[in-house]
Amino acid sequence: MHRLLAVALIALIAFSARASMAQDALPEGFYGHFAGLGLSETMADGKVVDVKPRDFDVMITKSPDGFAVSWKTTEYTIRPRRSKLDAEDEKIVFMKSLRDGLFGEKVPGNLADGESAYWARLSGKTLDVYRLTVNNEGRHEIAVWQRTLNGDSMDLVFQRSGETSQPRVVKGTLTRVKP
Amino acid sequence: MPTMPSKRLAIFLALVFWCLPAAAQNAPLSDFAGTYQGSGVAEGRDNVYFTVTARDLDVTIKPTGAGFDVSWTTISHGAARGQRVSRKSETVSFLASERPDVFRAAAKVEPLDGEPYYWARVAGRTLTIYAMTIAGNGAYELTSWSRTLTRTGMDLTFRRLSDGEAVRTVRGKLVRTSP
Repeated sequence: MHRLLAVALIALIAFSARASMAQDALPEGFYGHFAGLGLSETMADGKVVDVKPRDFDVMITKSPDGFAVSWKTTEYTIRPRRSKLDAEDEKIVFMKSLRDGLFGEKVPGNLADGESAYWARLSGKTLDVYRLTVNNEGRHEIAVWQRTLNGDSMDLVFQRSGETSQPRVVKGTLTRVKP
Repeated sequence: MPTMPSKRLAIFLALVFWCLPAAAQNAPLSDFAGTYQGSGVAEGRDNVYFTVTARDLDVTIKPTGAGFDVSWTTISHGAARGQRVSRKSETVSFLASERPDVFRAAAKVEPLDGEPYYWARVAGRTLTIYAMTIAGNGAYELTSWSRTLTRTGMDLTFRRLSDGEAVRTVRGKLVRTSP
């Protein structure tokens, strides 16, 4: 009887652990609100032609069968009489795919009709978010946000490449401001 | 220096403006219709090695009411003379998108399951077909076939990028063998 109870208890613990793993798409440390600063470098012919400071805000939350990432990027242009501030907001909900560590949107965007396609991959403590866009002429642009967790700090590397704009690399560090 | 009479100048300018939009127009799909055969040279970067191989390239393009079908076969030859390495054939149907001269694949695919996501565009006298594939580790592979009409057939430029890095380029010439 005792042996039967012990087996049942072990099975229950294993089931709970599995269920808990199944609930969370990302390691717990990724969830929260992070904010920080970085530099955006625009390239032309392999050389940096423009550098701008940027503010970053990213919030990663749990969602059914996946997670949601919302981020805001503020870019500053500081020039005499031409200073300006550009802000960009995005929120994407990712769901688990059949492949381990890969996530996609519930309904993938129709690229040819102008919608963006997003997907994400988790590799250890690094979460990569990809966005593929096709412009009115059918030319593409790929953007990748690579976020690596280091305790309450998050290193961000953003890279943009393709046929529609000059390549851009942004590097920055964010700190957790809310759990 | 003789001056151009104002009437002649007006006619000349009218002709220039009349010709400009014509030059900027994209070729209709019917111009690409036909079967083409030819060969090319592939320059690849497999691991740390740089390789050059010969390829036979065949393609058939058939306009349909709402788009076009394209079928292609590529036979890769090894470094040794006459050594056949591989033969790949593919047929994809494209439909017009909401944007002029941009086409989407007729078949619905699930890119996160590894199926290629196709789109195509016509710019000038070049038809470019793109295929985006997401690998099991989340990395993307973007392949493009640009076919530019020539007097005897078409010039082909094939490019494959893996996570933004060029891994293979093929340049070839094809001759139209049937309309």
